Amino acid sequence: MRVDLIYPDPWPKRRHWKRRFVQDRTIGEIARVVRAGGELRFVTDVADYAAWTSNACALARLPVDG
Amino acid sequence: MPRGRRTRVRSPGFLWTAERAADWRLPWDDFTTTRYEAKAKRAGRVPCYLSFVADSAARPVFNQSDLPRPAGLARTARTRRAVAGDRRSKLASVSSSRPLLAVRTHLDGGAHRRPIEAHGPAEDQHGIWSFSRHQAIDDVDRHRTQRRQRGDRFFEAAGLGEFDEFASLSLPS
Repeated sequence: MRVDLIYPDPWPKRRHWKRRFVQDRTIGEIARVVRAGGELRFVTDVADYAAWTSNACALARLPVDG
Repeated sequence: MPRGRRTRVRSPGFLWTAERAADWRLPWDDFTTTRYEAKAKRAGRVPCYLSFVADSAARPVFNQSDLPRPAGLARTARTRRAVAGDRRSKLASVSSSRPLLAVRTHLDGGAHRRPIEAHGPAEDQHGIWSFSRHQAIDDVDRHRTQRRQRGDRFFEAAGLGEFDEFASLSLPS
């Protein structure tokens, strides 16, 4: 199963970041339904949102072999 | 789905699959472009394609409390109860006739925190907020500085090199 998030609303203002689709809660829910091996694909043209998503989905940059 | 490097991410349920710049600079094979993307490219904005794969080893996150918390906020219910109990006993020794409900432990919850953490909109997002908590004003245009720094942090988070290296990377044709 795969979830594609193509150009979600960027909500560029900081006080509106809480309205972005990518949140811990939504990512958690997606992780629950796609099961192992599923994919989440995300596209944006806002560097800020890319950083947000890679943080929401990059706590640490540890390479994992798999 | 390409095999190879997996980057552990904040959400325990997912791993990031990017190995090199092209993995997030270029769309996947079956990507259908959109009118929004065409408009963004015309405006000079660069698309970013992030691909995550669900981790078989990790347990999916069901609620906020399962997420990792920063060390500064790692007060568990047990420590909160301990603090409350300590205060309660002190208060009781001073005046046993005063009602115990007068102990306002929630004030303590905010006093030891930095303002940005105490007044954040949602506790589950303080990891994100800390991303841009300490921003030096080194340009005249503060907003431009912040945008550039956020971009730089993204490239650092990508773990794929410095920003200057990225800017000079040539994409495979």
